[in-house]
Amino acid sequence: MDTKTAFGKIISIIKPFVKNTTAFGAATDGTRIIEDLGVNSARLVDIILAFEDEFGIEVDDESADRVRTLGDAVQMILQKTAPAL
Amino acid sequence: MRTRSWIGNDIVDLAEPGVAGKERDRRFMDRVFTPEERDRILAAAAPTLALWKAWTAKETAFKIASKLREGVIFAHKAFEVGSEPAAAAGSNLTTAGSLGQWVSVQFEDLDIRVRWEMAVDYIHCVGQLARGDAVNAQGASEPAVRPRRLLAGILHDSQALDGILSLAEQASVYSTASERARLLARRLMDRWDLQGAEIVRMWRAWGWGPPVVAQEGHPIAGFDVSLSHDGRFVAAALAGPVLT
Repeated sequence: MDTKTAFGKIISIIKPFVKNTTAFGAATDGTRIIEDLGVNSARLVDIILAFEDEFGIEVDDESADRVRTLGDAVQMILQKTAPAL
Repeated sequence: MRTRSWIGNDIVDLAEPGVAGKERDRRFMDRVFTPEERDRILAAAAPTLALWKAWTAKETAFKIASKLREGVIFAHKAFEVGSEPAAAAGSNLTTAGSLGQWVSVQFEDLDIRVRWEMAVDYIHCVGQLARGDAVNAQGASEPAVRPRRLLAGILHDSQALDGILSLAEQASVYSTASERARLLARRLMDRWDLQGAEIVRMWRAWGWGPPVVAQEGHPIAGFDVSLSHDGRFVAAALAGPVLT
């Protein structure tokens, strides 16, 4: 999976939880999920669970805690879906 | 006896989407709560309220633990919420402005005490970890912990709040709610008449720290602050020396 595909899927997953639609419309890798998009912390748990379902991955607490921006989410998903060498 | 206390707070707007009936979300429950917590929530007279009480307790305790320790990860199940006295669990709503009994949240070797104010449309949790003196469980809307004083406030969207934040305070504002939470904390701070005091976040080795009460760029000893917001509500808690 490439970065663009991952970003697009992440945007689709997060969309229902977003409060700040203006910031969402201009979202970039640096967009902060909680502060900029207005997603609350409980919904962030829902988002992490949705990542697990969508990408067939397991997201441990440490990895989840590091996801602050959309770019963080993309990187985490690319790492966890990368084929084993 | 000299005491230091660290405080945290968290609020949940019960009208927010995804709040009602969340106890039926098995994966969320498994991810966030220990088996004992899950059993207690599901056995409560009002499971949804019990769930969000436990959630706000974990959030509150995490905020406190993060002030004491570097790089704390919010692994929800690592913050274990103790059981409440039976009469206080679940459906009992305290009058707005009153707080229930203290309940323990354990994280590693920390014993963090939390209590809740509950109303029809929100749950607000305030917590503290005091070192050097026993926790005084007396008090209502402004619970006192000698020799610290703990003030807490909640503001609904419909309530106006005047005030102007300093440039340093504005630097960490990221939304209308975060601005109003700071203004609310400033209002609580007025009780101490601190000239030039600000609520700012400071850069630490591992990133931006939580808000602190500062003067001229330095934290004021003996004070601590915690901010939160959700949906229609903002909340703040402030601890400082006992007023004479």
